[in-house]
Amino acid sequence: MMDSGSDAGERFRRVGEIFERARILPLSEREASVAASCGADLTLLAEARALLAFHEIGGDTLDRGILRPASGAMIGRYRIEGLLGEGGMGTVYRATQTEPVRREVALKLIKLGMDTRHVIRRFEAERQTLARLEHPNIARVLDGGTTPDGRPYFAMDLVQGVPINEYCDAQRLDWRDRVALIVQVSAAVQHAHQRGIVHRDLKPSNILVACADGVAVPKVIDFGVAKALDASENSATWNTVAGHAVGTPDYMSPEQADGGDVDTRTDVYALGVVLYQLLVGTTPLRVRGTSRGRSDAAAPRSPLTSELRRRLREDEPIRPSSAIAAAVTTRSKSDIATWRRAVRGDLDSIVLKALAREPSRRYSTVAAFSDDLGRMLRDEPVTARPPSTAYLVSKFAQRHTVALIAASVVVASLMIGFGVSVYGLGTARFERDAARRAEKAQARLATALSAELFASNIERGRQSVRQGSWPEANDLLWSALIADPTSPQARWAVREMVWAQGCVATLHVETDVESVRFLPGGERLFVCSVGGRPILFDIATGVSTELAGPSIGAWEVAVNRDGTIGCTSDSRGDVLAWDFSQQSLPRWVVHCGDGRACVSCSRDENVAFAGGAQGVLWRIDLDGSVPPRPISFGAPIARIVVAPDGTVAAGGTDGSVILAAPDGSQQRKLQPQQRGIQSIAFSHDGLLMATGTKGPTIAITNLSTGEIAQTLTSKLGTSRDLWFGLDDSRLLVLGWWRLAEVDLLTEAVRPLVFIPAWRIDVLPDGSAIALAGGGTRSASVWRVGTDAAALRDSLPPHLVARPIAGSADSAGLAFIASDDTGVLGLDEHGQTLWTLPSAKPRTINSNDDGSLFATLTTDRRACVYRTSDRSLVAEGRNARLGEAPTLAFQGSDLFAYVTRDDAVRVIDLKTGEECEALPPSPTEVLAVAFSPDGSLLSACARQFAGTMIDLASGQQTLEISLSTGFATAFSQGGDYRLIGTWRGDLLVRNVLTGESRTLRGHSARVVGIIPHPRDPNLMLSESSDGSVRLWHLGLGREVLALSPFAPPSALRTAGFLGDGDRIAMTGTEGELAIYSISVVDRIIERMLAEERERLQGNVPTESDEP
Amino acid sequence: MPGASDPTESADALATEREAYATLRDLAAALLRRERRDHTLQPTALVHEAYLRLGDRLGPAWRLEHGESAFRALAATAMRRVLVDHARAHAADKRGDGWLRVELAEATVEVPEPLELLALHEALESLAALDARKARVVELRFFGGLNGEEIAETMGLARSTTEADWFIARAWLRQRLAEPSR
Repeated sequence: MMDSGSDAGERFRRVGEIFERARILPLSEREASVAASCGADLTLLAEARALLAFHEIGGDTLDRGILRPASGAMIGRYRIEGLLGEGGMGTVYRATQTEPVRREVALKLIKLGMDTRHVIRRFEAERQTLARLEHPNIARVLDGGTTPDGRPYFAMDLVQGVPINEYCDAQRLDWRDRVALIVQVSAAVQHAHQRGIVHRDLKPSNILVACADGVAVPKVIDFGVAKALDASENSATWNTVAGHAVGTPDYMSPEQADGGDVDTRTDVYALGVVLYQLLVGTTPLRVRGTSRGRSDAAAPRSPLTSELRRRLREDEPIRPSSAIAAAVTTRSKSDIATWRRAVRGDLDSIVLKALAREPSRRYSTVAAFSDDLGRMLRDEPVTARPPSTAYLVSKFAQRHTVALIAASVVVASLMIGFGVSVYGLGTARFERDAARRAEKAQARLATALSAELFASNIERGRQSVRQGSWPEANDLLWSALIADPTSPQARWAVREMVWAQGCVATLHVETDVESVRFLPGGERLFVCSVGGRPILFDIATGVSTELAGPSIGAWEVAVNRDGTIGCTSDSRGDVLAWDFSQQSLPRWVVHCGDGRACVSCSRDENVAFAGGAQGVLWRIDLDGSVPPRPISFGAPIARIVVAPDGTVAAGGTDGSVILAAPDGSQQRKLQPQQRGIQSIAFSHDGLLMATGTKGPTIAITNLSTGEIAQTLTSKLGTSRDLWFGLDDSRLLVLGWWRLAEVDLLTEAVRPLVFIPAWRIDVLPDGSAIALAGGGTRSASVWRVGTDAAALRDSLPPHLVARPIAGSADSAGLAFIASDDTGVLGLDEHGQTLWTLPSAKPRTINSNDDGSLFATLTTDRRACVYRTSDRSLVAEGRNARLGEAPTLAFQGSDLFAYVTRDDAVRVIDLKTGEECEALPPSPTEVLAVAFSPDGSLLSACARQFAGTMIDLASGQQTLEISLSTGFATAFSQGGDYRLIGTWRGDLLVRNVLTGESRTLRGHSARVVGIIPHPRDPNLMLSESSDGSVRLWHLGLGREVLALSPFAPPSALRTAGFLGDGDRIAMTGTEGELAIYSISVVDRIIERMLAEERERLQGNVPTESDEP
Repeated sequence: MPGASDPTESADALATEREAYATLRDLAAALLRRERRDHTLQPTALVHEAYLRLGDRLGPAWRLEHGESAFRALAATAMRRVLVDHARAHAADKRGDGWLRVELAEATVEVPEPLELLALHEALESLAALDARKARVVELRFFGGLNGEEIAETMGLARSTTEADWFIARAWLRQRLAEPSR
C-alpha cells in the first residue's frame, strides 16, 4: 500500500514536471515538448496531455474561490451596487464611481490566478490609447486597478444591453438587419484598430445591443481587457490562462488556438464567427462538430484539447447557406428557403473569407470585411467572390437595373420614331435629347464597369502570379496594361510577373541584344548586341563590363572551352576573338563571306567553328598557333552547333544540315528540309537532332539512320532556338514572344517565360537559362523550376552590408562588408579593395552615397569613417550593441546612434557637436532614421511603434501600436514617415497632415524600410517572411512583392541600386538577386508598341531574324 | 521578539486576538445571513467553530511569531473544515442548484453546494496523498483567498514554485472532478 502510494506520488511528480515544462511554452510548442519528455511512455504521454488540456479550461469553481466583494463594498473609488454577470474571466458588477464624478460603471473583477502586476502593467501601457477610443458603438474601458487582495479590476462604461445574438433572435430580425448590425460593429472595431487596439475576444457576450428610442445600438465592450489579461506575450513564468483561451473556443481564431501572433485579422475572424452565428444559428465549430456526429454540447466548456485545436486548424467551415438551422429562421420573419437563398453566394463567400484559416487569406482589415458586407447589401460585386466577368456583369446589372431599362427604352423609342416620322419637331428633339442622355448614361455605366473589371483583373492576375498560373496571369495583366498603359498598378503587376517567372538578373544595353552565352560555371554571361561592343555580364553582382575593341555590333557569340576567349560573328561576315582578360584588343580571325556569319565553340578543344554566306565551315584553333582552315563546303551557313560528342552541325539557308567530326572527317549531309535552318539542338544522349526552320515546324532527326523521326508543330512561330531537356524527353523552344517546353511524347506545349528573345543558352545542368532579349535591349538570366541551387552555388559568396551605388571612392567601391577580420571594401566583383582590420564591428551601416560608414564595436563605440581614406570622422561612446538600423546618417552632415540606456544621440559631423535628441526610452530603441532634410528624427522601440522628434523644437509625435517597431524611414522628399512593426505592418504617417494609415502585406516582422532614391511615392520593405515589397504611398497599396530566395536560403538585405532602377537583394547563402526595373520597362514598352502596331492592323505575327 | 511576560503584551494580545476573530469573520461571516430558507449553519456558529478549531494556536504569541499570513492560512484550513463538516451533515438531502451567494458587509462568500464541496474536499485529500504541498497551495488559495505572493510567504517557498504548484494542482483537480466515477 505504501509502495503503491509512493509510486503514484513519484508518477505524479514526473507528470507534474512534464506539465510544467510544457505549460510555460506557447500553445503551439507544447505538444512537441510533451512528446519529447515522455519518450516511449505512452501512458505518461496521455496523462500529461490530459493535464495540459485541463489547464486550459477556465472560470470554474477552483478559479473563483469562495470570496467576493459584496454590495456596498468599495473597490478603489467604486462602490459595488450589484451583480451584472459572470464570465470566464471574472465577475461583472454594477458599481458607482464616487469621484471625481459620480457615475454608474460596470466593474469587471478578474478572478484569482492572473498575475496582477503584469495585467496592470499591460493595461497601463495601453490606458491612454484606450481612453481615446471615442465611438458610439464602443463601451470604453475607463480605469483599471488592483483590489487589496491583489485581483485586477477594470471599470468600463455601463451598457444595459443583451448579447447581439440574443437581441437578433428576440427581435426576430431579418438577415439584412443582422448583417447591418455587424457592419455597425465592424465600424467600431475598425475605429479601435486604427488606434492600434485589437480586441482579441470578440464574441456575442462582448457585443451588447441596447435599445435607445427604438433604435438598436450595438456596443462592443472589453476593448483592451483581453490584451491586458494575455500573459503569453511577455511573461513566461506566469503563463496563465490567456483571456481568449478562457471559456469557449468557438470564437477563437486558429492562430490564437495555436498561441501564434494575434493581430487585427484575429478580430476579422471573430467577427466572421459572430456573423456566421447570426446567419446560421450556431457557430462554425459546432456545425463542424455535429456534421461529424458529435454532440452539439461537446464544444463549449470542453478544454482546448489538441483535437479541438486540430479542428480549428484544419477543418474548413461548412458554408453558412448549407448550415442554416431551421431554428434561426423560426426566430426571424423569413422562411428557411428565402433565408438560404439570401445567404447563398456573396454572404457565403464573405463569411468564409473572414473565416479563412490563414490570416493572410482573410480580409486584411475589418474595414475591408465591412466594405464587402456593404457592397453585398448594395448589390455591388464583393471582393471575396472570385470575380469572373459574368459575375461582375450580373452584379452590375442588378445594381443598375433601372438605368439599363431606361437606356433600352430610349433605344426602343428611337426605333419607333424612325418608323413613325409624322411626329412633330418637338418630339424629334425630345427623342434626340433622350438619345443623348441614354448615350451618356450608357457611357457612364460602361466606364464604371470597366474600372471595376480593370481593378479586379489586376488583382486576379497577381493571384495567378502567386499561384504560378502564367498563361492566365499573362493574359490578365498584359491586357490590363494595354487597356491603360499609364496605370501604375498595372505596370508594377507586369513587372512583378516578369520577375516572378524566375528572372535572376537582367542587363540592359543601348541596342538590340542578339545573342548570349554562359561562361563555364555560369557565373558570367557573354552578351552581344546589334551595335556597340560585346559585354561580359556578372550575374552575381549585376555589373556589366564592355570589352575593349571596335564598336561594331555582333550577331552571334560563342565562348571557348576554358572561358578565356569569346568569339563574335557579325553581319559583315567577320569573326573576331576577344580576350576576356582584356590583355589585348580582339583578334580578327576569319571572313566568312559578305553577310551574316555564325560561330560556335567546341566543349572539348580550344576550337571554334564559323561559317557564313560563302558556305564554308571554318575550323579555328583559338590559341592562334594554326591558321583557320576550311573543313566543309556547301550552301550558305545560317547556324552552327556543336553536339555533346564533338560533332559539328552546320545548318544551311537551303534547309540542309552538314554533320562533321571536329577535324572535318566523317562528313555527311542530311536530307534538306524545305526551308532554311534557323535553329539546331542535339539530345544529350547524342541520338537525336532537332532542327527548326522558318515557320512553326521542328524536325527531329534520328542521327543513327539520318531520317526524320518526328515532325512537331510548336504553335509558337519560328523556333529561334532549341534545347533538349536533360532527360531528352522535352524540347525547350524559343518561339514567338515566349519560351516554352514541348513534351516530345505528347507534343503538349507548356509556356515557361513570356518575353521576346532571339537566342537562349542553358547551363549544362539545366538550372538556368539566359535569354538574348532582342528588341527589349536586354539580356536576362532565369532560374529554371525552383531548384536554383546549382546556380546559387556557382555564385561567389558576399558579405554584403548593403549594396552601395555611386560610391565616392574612385576605386569603384561597390559594397562595404564586414566579417570577423574587420571591415572590407569590395569592388563590384566581390574582390577586396581594402580592409580596416582595427575595427571588428558587430554591425556596420553607411550613408546614402557610401562616402561614410559607421561601425558598432563590442567596446560600445559607434565610429564614423570616411570611406575614401578610412579616417575616423566621429565617435560616439557608450553605444548599445544593436543592429545596423540603430546607426543612422543624414547625408554627410548628421549621424545618430543609440546609447546603452536607450537614448538617441546625434553628432553633427561638420562641427563634431553632440547632443541628446531623445532622452532614455523605457524600452529598447531598435531603429532610428533622419528625414531627408535632417529636421526630423524617427525612432522606433520595443513594445510601442515609435516616435518622431522635431530636432529644432524637440517636440515629439508618438506613434502607438500594439506591435514593436523594428524599422523606420522617411520617404524621399520627407513627406511620409514609415515604421515597420514586429507583426509585419507598415505604419505610414503623412508628416505634413499628420494622417496615418496602416499598410498590410508582410506576414512577419519588417526588418528594413528603404526609400526609393528618386520617387517620393515608392518605399521598399524587407521582412523576415522572406519577401521584399514595394509600396506606392500615393496609391496607398502594395505594388510589388518579391520572394527571391528559396529555402534554405533566406533574405538578408534589400536595397535600390543606382538611381533606383534596380532592386538588389542578398540572401543568407551568399546570393545576390538584382531585378532591373528599367529592363522590364523596356520589355513592357516593346510589348505595348507591338500591341499598338497590331491594333493598327499591321499584324506582325512572325518576325524575321534581325 | 517580545517576551511572554511583557506587561504591554496582554493588551496587544487582546487586540491581536480581536483582529484574528475579525479576520475569521471576514472570511466566513458571509454565511451569517444566508438567504436560503433552509439554511442551518448559523453565522456565529461557523465563526465559533472555526475559531475553536484553531484552538490555542490562535494565542497572541503565536500570531506575533508567525505573522498575519500564517494566521490566515490557518483560518483557511479551519474554514475548509467547517464547511466540509457542514456539507457532510447536509449532503444527503441538499441537492441544491449550484452556488449559493451570500452578501456581507465587506465580502461575499460563495459556498459551493454541499456535494460539490465534498467532491473538492475528497479530491484535495487524494492530492495531498500524492503531494501535500500542492494540496496546501490549493487550500490557501481557495478557502483562504490568499494570493500568489501571500501563499509563497506563508509556505516559505519561491513564488514561482507555488505558482507552478497551483497550475498543476488545479489541472489535476479539474481532471479528477470531471471524472466523478473515479
